[in-house]
Amino acid sequence: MSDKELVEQIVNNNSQRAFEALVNRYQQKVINICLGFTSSIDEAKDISQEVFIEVYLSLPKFRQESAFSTWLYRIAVNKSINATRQSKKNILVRLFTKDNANANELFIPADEASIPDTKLTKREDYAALKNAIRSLPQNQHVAFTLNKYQELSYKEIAEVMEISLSAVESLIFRAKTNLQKKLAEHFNKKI
Amino acid sequence: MTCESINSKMLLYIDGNLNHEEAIQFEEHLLSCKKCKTLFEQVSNTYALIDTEKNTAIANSDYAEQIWQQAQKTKRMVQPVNTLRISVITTLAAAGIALGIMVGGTFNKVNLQGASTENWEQLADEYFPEPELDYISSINPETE
Repeated sequence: MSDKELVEQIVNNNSQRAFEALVNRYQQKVINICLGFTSSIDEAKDISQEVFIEVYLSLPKFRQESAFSTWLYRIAVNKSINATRQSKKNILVRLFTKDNANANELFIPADEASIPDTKLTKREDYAALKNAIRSLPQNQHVAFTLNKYQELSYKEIAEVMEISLSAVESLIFRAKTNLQKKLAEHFNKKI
Repeated sequence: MTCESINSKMLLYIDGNLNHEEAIQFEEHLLSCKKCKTLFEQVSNTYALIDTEKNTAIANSDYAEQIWQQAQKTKRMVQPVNTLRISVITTLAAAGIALGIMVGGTFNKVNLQGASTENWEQLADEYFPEPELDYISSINPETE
């Protein structure tokens, strides 16, 4: 059954079966997008749930002008960015309050299960990678996440971000160059 | 290729974004430069953690059902509030307009009644000022 048919069944009949089919089809893709913005798998899963709930509530307003997947990925990106902003605010609050004892640890992925080898060096490298990704300018961050985490084509990224193909190419090129610099700095410090 | 150039292209090489010629130059440099080779290994191992992370972040089997239940709860919470809000706002607006008309009408009546004599006299005085005293005395027969 196509996305369009499933959407119609949800809107017209409030079909649980259709909704679950749609979620099963896209759950991993949405989780991957959220993963590109968060520091832990649990956080990514939580945001992905919020994404699908918003999708369910907004489906009656969805005019099918773009593909359902494009619309869904936009919601996932926006939710993730908002959650990241909220998370940064919480970190600032914690830094300026008494509860700042573990503030430095907030940048290290909370979920150790996300990396099989939990040796300290590997955790540090992983944290450096995540911090480098998060420090990218927002449009580079979005393009990189859609490309690397979600494995979307440049054309699909251009549709989600509503920019030209050449702009996507440029953003991804700059994102990877910037990430490379940060990772090189991280490893050069260790030598 | 210089070390600096190699250092900025590692991720592009890993993701296959370099053209054939650049990729060959990149590989040749790594064969001859131990420092860049070590850095490349570190960077590529770390960059590969993204794939590890993705493969680990798999949704539970009841993920879709959980979301459905949550969505139903949220829908129930959101809908009555919206309906209530719309009806309350409409009622309050209608009551406000009615009250405004009533109060306005009452004051309007009071003003018209109270002002009808005084205000009209004042207006009349302004438009038709009383004649000069001299002139009056000149025509008053009693003063003659």
